[in-house]
Amino acid sequence: MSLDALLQRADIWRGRSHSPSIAYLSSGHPHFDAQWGGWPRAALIELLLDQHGIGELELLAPALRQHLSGERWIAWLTPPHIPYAPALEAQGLSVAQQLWLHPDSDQEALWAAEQLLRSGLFAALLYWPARIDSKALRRLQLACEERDAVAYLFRPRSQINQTSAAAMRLSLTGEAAGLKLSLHKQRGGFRSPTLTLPLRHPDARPLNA
Amino acid sequence: MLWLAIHFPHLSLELFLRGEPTDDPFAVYEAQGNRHIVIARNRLAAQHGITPGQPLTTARTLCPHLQSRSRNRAAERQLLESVALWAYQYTSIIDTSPESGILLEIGGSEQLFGGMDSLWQQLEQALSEQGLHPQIAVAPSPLGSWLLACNRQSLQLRCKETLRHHLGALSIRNIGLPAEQQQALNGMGIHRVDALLALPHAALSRRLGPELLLYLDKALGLRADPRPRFTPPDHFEQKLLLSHEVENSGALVFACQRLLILLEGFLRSRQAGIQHCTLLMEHHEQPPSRLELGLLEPSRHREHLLNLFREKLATFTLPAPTHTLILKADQLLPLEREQSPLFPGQHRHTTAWTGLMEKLRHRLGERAITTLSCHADHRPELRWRPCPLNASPLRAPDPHAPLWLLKTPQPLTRRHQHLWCHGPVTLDSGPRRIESGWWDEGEVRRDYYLAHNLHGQRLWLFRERSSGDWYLHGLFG
Repeated sequence: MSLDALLQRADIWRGRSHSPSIAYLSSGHPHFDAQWGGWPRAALIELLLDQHGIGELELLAPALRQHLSGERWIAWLTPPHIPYAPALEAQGLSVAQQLWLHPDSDQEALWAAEQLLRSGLFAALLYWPARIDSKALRRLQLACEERDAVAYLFRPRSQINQTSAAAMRLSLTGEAAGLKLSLHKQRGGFRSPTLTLPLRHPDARPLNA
Repeated sequence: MLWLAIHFPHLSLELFLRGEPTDDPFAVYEAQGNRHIVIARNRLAAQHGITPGQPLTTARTLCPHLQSRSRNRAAERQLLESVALWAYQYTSIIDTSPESGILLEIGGSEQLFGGMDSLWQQLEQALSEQGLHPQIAVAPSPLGSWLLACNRQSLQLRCKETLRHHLGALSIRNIGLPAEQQQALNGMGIHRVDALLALPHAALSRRLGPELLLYLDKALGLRADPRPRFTPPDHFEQKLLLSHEVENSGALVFACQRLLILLEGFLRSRQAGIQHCTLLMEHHEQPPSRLELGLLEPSRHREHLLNLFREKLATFTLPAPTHTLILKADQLLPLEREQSPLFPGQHRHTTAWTGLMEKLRHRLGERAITTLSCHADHRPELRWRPCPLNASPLRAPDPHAPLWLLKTPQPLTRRHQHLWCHGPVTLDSGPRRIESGWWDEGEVRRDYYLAHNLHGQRLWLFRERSSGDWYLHGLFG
């Protein structure tokens, strides 16, 4: 086996550069793409965070716009709050291609996740599981690979030590300077492990009394 | 004219056994005089030495764990009618008068279904899928085809000469003659039909009555034999008896399949589909349980309906064991051609989509799945609403809105003179005043502010103008 052929393999960790043979979706944030290549395609991605509303959705917005550019849909599964339609539209995310699911039990949610991914009709799944084990993560990762879909799983940071089949794992913290991302796992190796994204502040008017 | 006879030699048995496969010896008995006599049994029971004509008590001694049911003639008749209903997709001329089968006039349908052999095979296979195993015969006369089928002559005869030849070979005991006529003929030394046909007509008519000749002529196709025509009802209601009581709803899937085959045939014959049907499960001493199935679009596709039933039955608990299933569908909707798998590219997205949605709705419940649409209203909680799956949502962006909306605004507390939301809150900008809803009792008078806390959460707060209370209404995700 020649050196070139060896270097083309996806399972070789290449230290400080990412393999060109892995497909990435541009995150829409230049520093993110430069450091980490972008979001892996057809994969399970874990976003670990303890607070909601720190910019986690704005982080994903450019990728979600790309997911919606075809005919396929996006599903929101057991999100912590209502995905607000006027704001989604303002981000360029058409509500005509989005579905919100809120089943009663964890098992039903997990079942629905697999059904949605395996149907091939959804380009992306945004899922907030209450509890999920490594076997289930593996199944979701496989479903993503087979049907060319991306599953973004939002989980508490305490779950960082659980073994996961996810292709990428990021933890998110809200800070004054913006959204701080810490990379725990990325296909193909990675550069510096943290990145802070200054997020667009919502339209501000000066405070009146 | 070409008639196809479908005779069910094991009708009274298959009535009970088609509900689910059984590993038990099974027999059907009938009251004759004051005894119960076995009239039919399955292979397992036969292996124990049980034969038709035996008293039930004898059968039970031969096989202590024999399952048995009393013959149910009414249910047999209903089953024949349901088969006729199903067969209506092949021809509209059906006679259901025989006790153990039906007759179809298929002269006109032969070409449509790809020739006689293909039609025959389709019928056998489809009936087998329903748990029925018939004897089939084809002849130019209805009675002729029926007699052949009853005598296990699975023949396809098209001309009357060959029909005469084959009928001639039958014994006179098996052609449906009354007992006295059979005895009289035996006494004359006539045992086969061809011998009977060789007798001079005038003498035969004098001796045994003119009806016998008429009967034979009808069988041979020499005389017209008009048959009553079966007319199907406008709605579908079919019953299926189970061989033993079932406690686990999942085990009913097999039985459901049988009923769905009938439903599909019925709907196909009327070029119709359904969007709603009901499955009833009968219990002893309790009102029946119901399971309703709703579809997004009219369908008659058997596999699709079965998958939906399977999902529903998986989560349904029977309150008591059930012994009978009834499937009902009364609202028929026109449906010319079902999206068929012969055309894979066309419509596959739509059918796959509705299929997935139905599957999800059935398992999770309809209220667990919501689509999103904007709505024209100044009150933020009303500025979005769910939208029916087949309709187009309203798309109206609001650049000031947060990506997360709380289901109900959450009141904020104060601690150490700070507004508190998972930590002290700092206001960033505002207020934006919203006053609206004075016309429908949902009046809102609020000032909205953007704020943040130490965790980096970007908050959408409002202050009630009337009370001065603060609430969290959304988060900028």
